[in-house]
Amino acid sequence: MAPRIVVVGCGVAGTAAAWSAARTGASVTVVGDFDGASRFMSGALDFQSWEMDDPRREVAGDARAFCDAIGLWRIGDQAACVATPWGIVRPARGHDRAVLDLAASGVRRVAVVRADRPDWDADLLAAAWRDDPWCVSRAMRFEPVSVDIVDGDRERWMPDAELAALLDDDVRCRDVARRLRDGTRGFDAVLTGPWLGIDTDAAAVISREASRPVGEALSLLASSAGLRFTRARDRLLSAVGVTASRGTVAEVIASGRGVIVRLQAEADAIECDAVVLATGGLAGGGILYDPSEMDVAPEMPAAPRDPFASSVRSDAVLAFEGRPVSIVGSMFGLDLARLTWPSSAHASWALDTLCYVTRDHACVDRDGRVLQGVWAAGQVASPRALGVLGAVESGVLAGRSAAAASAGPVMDRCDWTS
Amino acid sequence: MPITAVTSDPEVDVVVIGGGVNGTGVARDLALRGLRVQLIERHDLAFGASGNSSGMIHGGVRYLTSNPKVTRLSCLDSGYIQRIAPHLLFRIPFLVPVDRALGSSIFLELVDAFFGAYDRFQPLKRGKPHTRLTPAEVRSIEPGITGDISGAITFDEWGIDGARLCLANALDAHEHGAGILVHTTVERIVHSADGAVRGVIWRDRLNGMSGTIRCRVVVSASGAWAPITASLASIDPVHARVRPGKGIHVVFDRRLSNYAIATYAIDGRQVFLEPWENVTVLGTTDTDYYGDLDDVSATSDEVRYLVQGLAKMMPSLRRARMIGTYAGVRPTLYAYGPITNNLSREHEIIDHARHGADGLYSMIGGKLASYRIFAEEMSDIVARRLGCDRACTTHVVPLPGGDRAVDVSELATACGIDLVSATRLAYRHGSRSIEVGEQIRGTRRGADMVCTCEAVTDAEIRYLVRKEFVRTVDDVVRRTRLGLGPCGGMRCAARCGLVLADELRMAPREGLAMAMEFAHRQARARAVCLGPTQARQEALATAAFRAHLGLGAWEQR
Repeated sequence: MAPRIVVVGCGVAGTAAAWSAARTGASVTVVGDFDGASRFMSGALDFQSWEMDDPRREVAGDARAFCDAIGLWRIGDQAACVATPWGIVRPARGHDRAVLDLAASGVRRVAVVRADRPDWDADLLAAAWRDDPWCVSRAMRFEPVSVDIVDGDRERWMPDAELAALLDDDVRCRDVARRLRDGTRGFDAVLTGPWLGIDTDAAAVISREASRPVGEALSLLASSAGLRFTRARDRLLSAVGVTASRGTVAEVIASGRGVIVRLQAEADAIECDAVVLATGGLAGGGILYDPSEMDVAPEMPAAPRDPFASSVRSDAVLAFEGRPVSIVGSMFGLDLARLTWPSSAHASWALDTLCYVTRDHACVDRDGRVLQGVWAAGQVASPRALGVLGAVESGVLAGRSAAAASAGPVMDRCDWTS
Repeated sequence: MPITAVTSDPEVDVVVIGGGVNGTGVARDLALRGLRVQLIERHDLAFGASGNSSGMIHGGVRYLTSNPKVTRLSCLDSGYIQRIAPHLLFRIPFLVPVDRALGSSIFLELVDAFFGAYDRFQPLKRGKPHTRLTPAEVRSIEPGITGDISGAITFDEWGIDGARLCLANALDAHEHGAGILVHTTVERIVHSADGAVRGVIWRDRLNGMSGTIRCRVVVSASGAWAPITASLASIDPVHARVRPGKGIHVVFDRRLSNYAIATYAIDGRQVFLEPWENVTVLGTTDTDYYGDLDDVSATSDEVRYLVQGLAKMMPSLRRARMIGTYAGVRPTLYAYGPITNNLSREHEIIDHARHGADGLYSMIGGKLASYRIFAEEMSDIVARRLGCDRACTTHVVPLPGGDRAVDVSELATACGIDLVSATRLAYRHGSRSIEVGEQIRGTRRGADMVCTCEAVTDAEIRYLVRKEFVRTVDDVVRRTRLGLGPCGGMRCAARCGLVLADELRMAPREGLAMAMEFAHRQARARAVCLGPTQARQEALATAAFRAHLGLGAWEQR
């Protein structure tokens, strides 16, 4: 019988885990309840924070195969250069297919489309991108151009992703393409906000029609890139035969012979051979900051407790700044000043170090014993901030390991100090 | 060391050092009397205690028994401030629940009588007389109060935006001929061999430029920096010493209560929770401070001390969402011995003639509520010395924007913004909001909301640069509260930096670097009060900054 795998969480890491486990022939169910950090993705693909990333690093093996399979992302041989909606230009290992790669050959004079949208001031952004040292060194020019692609008050106030979805309509898409073609003559490329389609590759259609590359700057909030991912994820999971179900996992119990996954809403539980926890970090909701000081009490909380908890109850132990999370020596909680944002580029944020203690993606308990059949992937398994590619890499490995190990038991013990 | 100022240097009558409420108050008073004034501020207007206060023009009720003179003066001046800046004031009704543990109903009688005495001063500031409430009445108006109480007293105070008050004073001084230099530090106070003050040497801290201004009088209104300023005239800093008292406040994401609630912290100090503008403010601490005055911040200990104090009366406060903290240092009058809480809030003017700097005065102590009278006392001395016989008019001449009320719905329609935004705009600028409105209409994308938490438009930021001495993102924040909402500047900081750079004709990157600096500082102010919801928000904000600006390494690129 094929091993039964449950993946908790359906962001980038969970999807990659489910996909890679399914590829080995496992029977996979994904349980997820809401959109986590992946839903806010910017459209740039990095392994980690881009300033610390190596843009030459190869995306290989299963990770590469996953990126190809999801069919949404472009990863060239060279690093790409993308424009952020905050006015800088930055390298990225890959990018959402709708995002414009400024490093593509022949891109010198870029039209920035003016749109009557509150978060998009093309004149201000063009001036900022023009000022970027990388663009200056390549003598790139950004010029605002007026092309009417937003129609009326309703579209003016729409979230980016909703506006993008309008371009999934072929008629509208071709109309916009014609306007952009006529309005940006003489330019090498055209930069828009994140509005170029969700379910379709509208950027490609428009680029063809306009006969010059037309693409987006990165997404900010209400991310178009994030919505595209969730749609592509659903297509991919159904294509590889993964069962996806909505629900909140309350608890994971490793019994030694298998794993029981208890859902919050149902009395029933899912029995399986292995579970992959890909619930996300603090931003995604997989790790909760829930200190005792928040207890509603007049003077002092009833009991001290670990300030951080996983959203899923289990014996798997979390670490913070490299040490297992444990009760703080105060009835009130941590010295919060240590949680502040680092001001130097090479320091990491303390809250980014929160993750499961893992050994090759297998979770361990408080005594350092590997928990049979409990695996972790993505941000919840990484002691530093991951980019999309980092989550993919982590996901495919965890998924494959979970499926492979389900064949037979592995006993191991890990040492905190190692 | 005596240095002779070059005669070609610009000359004024008075140099005022410090752009807090006392400095801007003095500059305005002297400018209204026709004197030539130059104000020099090391950081920004309201950078120190004035911009980090509890935001109240309170009547000095805590001095009622120890020093009723302070109470009377505070109430009188609160009345004057209402007359000259009605747009900046808002009523804050206070509730003082009386803990049953403090001793039966007799204690309530005492509190009742105490506030009965305070009522005598209330008409001076258009305050309402106090009332006495039963426990049932208290629970019906503030259901969150669950402590065991024998009743409560209400009394009346006025809230104000301290930073806007400083700005209004500086603006009026400027419009009456005074020069205002911000982000400019005084490097030396120059005097001749006989000790007479001749001028100051200044340096711009943002661009490094420096120069000399000649003058006959220097007024140091530098708050807790007073001894540092005095030392610039080569006199012993003990002649201008203060007892710096750090005070922090915690900010919640919304108005949590109908009334401000005053209660006691674990050490018996009074602490309070006040609905203030769009948020709720919890304050305050008072501890001796030995740190860097240019970089004061709250600690999680201080936050917990305050939360504990209020949660005893209102336990649900622990679950409320804190979105930030701010900290400042009071320039309390010096005394060795008393605990900080018992130190005098009175003020004092020191004439440094006897210390070898004739023409240098230090303004020590004071409080927001009595700034105007303090400025008047100082200005009387300076005017007499300079042979100017014009009397003080600062209690009758309206501050900029305070001359007439604005029809908010008309303003909203005229500049194409919603009613809430127009109300906030009119609060900040009073009748000057009509000028801002014209700018909104006349600017490309002027009505774009850069900060949606506080409703700050693109055009308002440009207006601040042109009219309100703004040079950095933080300056915009002090004047508008941009970026201090729940989003932590994730939406607005970068855009604000770009608009600012555009308006100041700087490279866009310099604007982004300022935004980054602001974001870092605010992250620190938020970290010490992080709660469950805000932690997730913080992670999201950090991720956004990381993806779109990075951690700032591009500055060196």
